[in-house]
Amino acid sequence: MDTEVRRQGHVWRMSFANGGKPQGSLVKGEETDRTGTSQTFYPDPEIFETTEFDFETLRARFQQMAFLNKGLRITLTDERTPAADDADADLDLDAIATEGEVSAEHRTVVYQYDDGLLDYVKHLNSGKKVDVVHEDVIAFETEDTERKIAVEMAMQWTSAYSESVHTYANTINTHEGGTHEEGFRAALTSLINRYAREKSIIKEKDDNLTGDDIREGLTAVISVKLSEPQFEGQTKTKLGNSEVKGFVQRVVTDGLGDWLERNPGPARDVIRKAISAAQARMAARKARDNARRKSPLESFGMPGKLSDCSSKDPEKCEVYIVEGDSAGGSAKRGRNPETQAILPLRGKILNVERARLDKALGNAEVQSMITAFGTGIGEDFDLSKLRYHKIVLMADADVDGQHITTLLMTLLFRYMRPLIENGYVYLAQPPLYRIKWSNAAHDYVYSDRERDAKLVAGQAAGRRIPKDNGIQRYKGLGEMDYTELWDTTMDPDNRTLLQVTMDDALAADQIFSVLMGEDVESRRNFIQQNAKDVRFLDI
Amino acid sequence: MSDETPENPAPDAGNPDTVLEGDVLVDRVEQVDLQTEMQRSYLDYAMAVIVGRALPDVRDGLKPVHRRVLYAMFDGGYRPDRSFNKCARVVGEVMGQYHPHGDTAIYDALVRLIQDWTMRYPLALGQGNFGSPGNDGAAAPRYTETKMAPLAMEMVRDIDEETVDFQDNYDGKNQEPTILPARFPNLLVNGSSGIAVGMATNIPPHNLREVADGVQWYLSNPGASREDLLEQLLLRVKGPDFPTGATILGHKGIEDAYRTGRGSITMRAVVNVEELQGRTCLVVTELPYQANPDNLAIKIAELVKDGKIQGIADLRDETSGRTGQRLVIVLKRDAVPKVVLNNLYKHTELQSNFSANMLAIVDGVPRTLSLDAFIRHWVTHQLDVIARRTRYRLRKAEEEAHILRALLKALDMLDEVIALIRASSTTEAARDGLMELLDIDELQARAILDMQLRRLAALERQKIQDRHAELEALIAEYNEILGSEQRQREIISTELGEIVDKHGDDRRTKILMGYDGDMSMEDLIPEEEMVVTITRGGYVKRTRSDNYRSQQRGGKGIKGAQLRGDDVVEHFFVTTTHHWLLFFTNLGRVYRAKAYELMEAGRDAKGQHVANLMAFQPDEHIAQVLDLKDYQQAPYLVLATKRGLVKKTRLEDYDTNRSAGVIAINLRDGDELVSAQLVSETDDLLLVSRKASPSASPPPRMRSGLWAGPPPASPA
Repeated sequence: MDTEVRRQGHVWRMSFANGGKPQGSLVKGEETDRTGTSQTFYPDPEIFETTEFDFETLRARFQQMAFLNKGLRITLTDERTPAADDADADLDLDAIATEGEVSAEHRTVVYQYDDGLLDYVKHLNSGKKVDVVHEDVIAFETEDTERKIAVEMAMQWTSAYSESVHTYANTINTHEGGTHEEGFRAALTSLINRYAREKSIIKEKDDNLTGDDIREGLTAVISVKLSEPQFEGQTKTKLGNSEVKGFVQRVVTDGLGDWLERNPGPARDVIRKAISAAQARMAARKARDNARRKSPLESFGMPGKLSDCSSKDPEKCEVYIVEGDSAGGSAKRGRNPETQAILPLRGKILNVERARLDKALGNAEVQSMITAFGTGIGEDFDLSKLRYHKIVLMADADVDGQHITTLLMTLLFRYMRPLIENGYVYLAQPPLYRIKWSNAAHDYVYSDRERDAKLVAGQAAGRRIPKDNGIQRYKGLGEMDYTELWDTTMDPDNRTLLQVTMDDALAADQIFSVLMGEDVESRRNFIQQNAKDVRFLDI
Repeated sequence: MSDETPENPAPDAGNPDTVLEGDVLVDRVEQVDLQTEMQRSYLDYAMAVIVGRALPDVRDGLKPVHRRVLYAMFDGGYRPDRSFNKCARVVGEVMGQYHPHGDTAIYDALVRLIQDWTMRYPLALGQGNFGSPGNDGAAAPRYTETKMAPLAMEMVRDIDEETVDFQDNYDGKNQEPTILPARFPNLLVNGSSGIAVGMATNIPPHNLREVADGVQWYLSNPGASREDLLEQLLLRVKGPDFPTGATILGHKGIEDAYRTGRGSITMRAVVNVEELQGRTCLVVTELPYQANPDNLAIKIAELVKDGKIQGIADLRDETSGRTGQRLVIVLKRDAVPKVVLNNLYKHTELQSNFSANMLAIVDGVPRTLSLDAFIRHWVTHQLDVIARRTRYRLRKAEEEAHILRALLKALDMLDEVIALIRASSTTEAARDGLMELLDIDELQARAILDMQLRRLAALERQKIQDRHAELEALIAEYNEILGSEQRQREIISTELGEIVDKHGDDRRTKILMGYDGDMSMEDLIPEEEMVVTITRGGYVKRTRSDNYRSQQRGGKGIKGAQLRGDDVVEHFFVTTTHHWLLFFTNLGRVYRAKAYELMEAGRDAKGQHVANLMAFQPDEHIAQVLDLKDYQQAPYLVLATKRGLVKKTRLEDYDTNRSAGVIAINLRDGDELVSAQLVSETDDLLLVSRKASPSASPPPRMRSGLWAGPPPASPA
């Protein structure tokens, strides 16, 4: 290795070899008015395994050095090769380099960055093809001359999902991080949380954002310079100086805090991004939890209110969803326990069209139905796990029963649509009246029109109805004996089921959102336009 | 229920030849489209709820459940002149006879009729615990007792005289009225609220006297146009009258509601300032309608805990049945009662809105109605009731007169009649004989046969004659009534007048005209002396002036701000929270903010960056800050730039509300605004250059906008 130093008006030369042994003393050479140092270095094959320099390695390292030392100009010329065509390409790549001179003969790159780390971050983000969350790169630097520590950093949030934080100590890349990165993270997390709370971007009852949420999409470069660095770890790429942590922490709190204060708009964007990261994280965790918890429920955790049937063949099995415990009792006594299962529901179930998924799933009635069916819901829906091939909705034959039917169908349509698509959903048809002939068996009728027709026909046939209580109007399923219920509504030989089919999923979707959704106005319009009573129209 | 259902799918249950075909399920399955089924079911439900559950009928102002409760109480004899009976009995009667729904729903409806803070004029009387306006519910129906209130009798008065239609109850064993006679305008008087499907109603209660006054005007001016009636009603019906009293702010909401059926009425609690044990206290004695005092106290406590309302030291609920509503808010010693109160109005139910949405069922369909329509529909109903009652009475009178005529005939031929009866072998023969003898019909003949012997006395005969004459007069009167709507209206008027004399009372809710309850921020923030500190870097804060204290000779000073790195405090002045602050920037723009908008911080705090307060442009920073009490504080504003340009502008021209700031002065390239000062015409102005050579000039010599652009009123 030859060293040539130009200072004090002379050129001074000295050479070393064999691992640094001087090859003679310092020689005072000719006079000169220039200053500067030239180092000529040839690797010694006895010490180094490879003595061939890789251009790309050097280029990357020099570019890094140029970034880390703002204003420093580094020219790399490969004199081994003639200027190749790809020299231009090399320069294009580093469009940020302020000056690029191409030596005509050899491959040459020149790096000089006046804004140092700021340019570095821009360079990193421009290569990523992602949008930035805020336009300007945040950059600041501080030097503590007394303690001989200086820190410089630049950062910018992007819409990427990964973080890329690069740390350097005395321009050495500390891959493993160390105290400077710890200080940075600690300050970042507490600062962003404090700021977000102060501005009530995150509410009092919300959890704090985690460091990971905040650092999602963050590109940052931290460079510390200190007089006595201590490196740790296997590859000595982890900074160990404990005083650095507090220093960096303070600088970040101060510098980034100032930026947040000065730029409330972008600051808000950054925090929103962190919040959405946190929400995504929680949603993912919830999904995972659900996936894990589901299996035990599916295999043996049937809801307590379900009276299951003994057959395990889904094709033969049917489940009756019954309105209210009072009707559930009749249904339970009246059923055929081999193939018919009964699931009583209490009152009106939640309108899932207007509730968020987590609230819908939290509802006990909804949960018991999901578990009873065995299919799961939404994306996890698995038709092959369906435990009954007939799901029969059996509600009272009154308007509230009809309302419950619509609520149940909303649940099935929104979360278990394949059940409807495959024709597994049926409506039971309980009778509306019982005509109690005094001299013949009872007649059950299913509509007012039918009742009148039956009455005329029956009386013509010589039947009589008793004066008192001849025609009973069923107000609820609970009003029937279990035998009546079986005979009229549940006995496969006698009953009539209505199979729910869907011709036009899109139209159905629309009708669900109009009837069950949030928009009161469109619902009222629907009622006005469709009311049988035309007087409704001009409200 | 369903028209799609085929003819009787259920064969006779007892029929043994229903063959089970092995184990094969031979279901009769029909198909129904999801969309059709949804629409049909939903529509049925919606219509049932709208027409038959949640909305009141415009005529008697009752929802079906209330109507059934009242009628069941009337029919079952739970009347005001009898003793109290267990609510459970009433509930059972209603449920068993008329209302096949849950017992709790019926009991809740009954309890509502009793609670005197819910109903302006309760329709049922209660004995026992019926809860409180707060979170206490009524005792279970097995404890409480009830009977009809005297006023409720007016709801069902004359119902036995065929005044309203009856229909079969749900099981056809019984009859229930489709409407009650409602001899006073119950819907307006007691109000109503309900949520149906796709629509809801919210009608405030009113004072009986005022509403009756309006009705009386309409009765005497039946030909009045809709507009005239509405105007006259607006004069007579001052506004809602809530059972809880309180005050209504402004008349706009009331008028909206009365004219269009919809309006937002601002209610405010009655709060007195009292000295209790040497402390200033706010005492809440009347709450807005439907405000829950328990929740109110919790809410206030929360606001105090969160620091959203300041100046409250303690909160005591001294409400009891004996003292009435009494919530005592003890203030801190340094609190301004007016400001605390304004904050309470702003943040709690002490002030709340009643969103009137006056929807009712008219002829079986829901309609949003204006005030005059309510009156009109009620009067129409009353005319119907009176006409039907008169027809009934006329029929009864004619029937009686018919009998009496026969009796008189019989008395005239007494001996022949007696002889005929004695000679008859059977009653039938006697009857037939009488019919022939006296030329009367069967009914009359039977009446003669039923006559008691004592009526043959001479005095009795006179009585019958008198009664007959009386009936003839009545029949003539009834016919006259039926022939004249005017007479019917007079009857309504008299009878309503009697009800009002008996049950009318003074208005409870006061109406404050011309005040809409809107409050500016100044009403919510006490005026306090503040020290404003602004740094060169743009950090702004305000500090209460009492954080600084004067120091004696040799004082070492105290910290006035925490500064970042190389920042310095550039502006420092004393102002009050209510003052305007004008921020003039180097780019010649001016932004403004009220002093209270600045972040309040301690003496050694950093403060907040102006960017959080105002939308500064890049590279814009504060050049000068002025504080103004108002824009009349000085007539002119003088601006000076770095290059020595000076202009003066009327200060008022800067009074605009643009948050993006206004251009205070148009600058040439490279020039910067350096100073702004308030001046008046007689002030002398001293401008000092960087080289410290002053040049004095009295401002009148400057022209407005001399070198500068247009005044700020026309921003670029």
